[in-house]
Amino acid sequence: MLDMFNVYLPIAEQNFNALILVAIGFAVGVLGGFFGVGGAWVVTPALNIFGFPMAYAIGTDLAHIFGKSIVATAKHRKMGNVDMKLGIWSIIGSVIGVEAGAQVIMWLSKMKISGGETLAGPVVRYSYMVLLFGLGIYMLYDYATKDKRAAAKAAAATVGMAAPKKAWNLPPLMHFPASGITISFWTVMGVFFFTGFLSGFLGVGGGFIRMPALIYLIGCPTAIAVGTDLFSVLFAGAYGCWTYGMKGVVDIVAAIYMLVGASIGAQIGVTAVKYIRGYGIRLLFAIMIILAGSSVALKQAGLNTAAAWVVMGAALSMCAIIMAKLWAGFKKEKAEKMMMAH
Amino acid sequence: MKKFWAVILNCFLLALPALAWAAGPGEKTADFAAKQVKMEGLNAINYFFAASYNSNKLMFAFIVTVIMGAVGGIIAFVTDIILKIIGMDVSKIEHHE
Repeated sequence: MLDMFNVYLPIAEQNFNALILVAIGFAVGVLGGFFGVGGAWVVTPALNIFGFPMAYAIGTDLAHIFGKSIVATAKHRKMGNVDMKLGIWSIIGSVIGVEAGAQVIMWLSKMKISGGETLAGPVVRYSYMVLLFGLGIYMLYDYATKDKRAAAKAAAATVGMAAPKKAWNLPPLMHFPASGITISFWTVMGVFFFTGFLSGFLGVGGGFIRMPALIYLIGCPTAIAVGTDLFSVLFAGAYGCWTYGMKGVVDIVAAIYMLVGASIGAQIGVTAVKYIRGYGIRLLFAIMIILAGSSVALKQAGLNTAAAWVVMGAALSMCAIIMAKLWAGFKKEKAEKMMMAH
Repeated sequence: MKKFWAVILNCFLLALPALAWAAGPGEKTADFAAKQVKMEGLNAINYFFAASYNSNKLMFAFIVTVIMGAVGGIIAFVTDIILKIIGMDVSKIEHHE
């Protein structure tokens, strides 16, 4: 019955279900708008499950990420969640870092191990797992201890203790008014070089690394970290769209269908940021990346189909949670407005 | 003296990225630059995409990038209006954790 939604993809030269493309785009759009990530780590396995030609998966995905990021960044900007100055610095630092990461991969690719594989494959997969699990567990720990830290901070303020001075304040210092932070130029460049390095090393867009880095290493409020990260994703997506287009691996029809779903999803994801508190975003993000880490672990164990289903199941569940929270928040706000009116 | 060491450290840190360009190309990806797709039996839109793909990849990349940007912008504008109608409009929010 679903065959009626099949469309011909002129570049990939095959038929594919448009409904699946719109649905995948929608789910990743919600996640992207809400977490500030591109979502390539969800899209590629999801497309894989449904038999999309893999040669075109990355290029098509990046093309739709570009369009989606425009939608999400514009909306985040309206909400005051984009620190443009910080975003521009993040692009500069990341570009240098990505290049360095790619060079390390090239070096590892020259080292052959058993089975004809190079050292790059397992090193990347294990690093990916360590990063996803480590980051996820740290964010869960951070969430679990937030009340304790808030109480300690309040107690320190009551007895008149000064806030601890930042240990690393090598000049020149930079001020980011939108985020309300003053920080060493070297911290900013170091953090973005590092996140860019990981991005180039792991071969991913890097949104899921940059977003927590903006929170924990730079000190941004969560919503600004999400919006600013999307601003960087926009540029990475534009470059990806262009360069993969030149290589001839973007199926533009598939990308448009995905973009339609993603743009609507991104609007929903961004709007949800209004109703879910900063720590709520961090908690959901932590769960999501731990599940993504489990998917990589399954892939390493050779269970490729299970790995793809885990990441897609996680994405769909998270998407449902975000939409439910948005709806609950919207209803609550509406009820409060009506109470105020009476 | 403190300023002097700050300048020295700045110079050192500025030199670090040079390590990034150790030579060699970046990651390898699928490259179908010479590929031609079939154009028979396609509808007008698909024909246009296939023709631009076959004739010039630079033009194709330009078309893809512009279309993605434009479609994203149009959908953002339309869904914004729809969300406004149902009362889910967003403006500047307070940043609290």
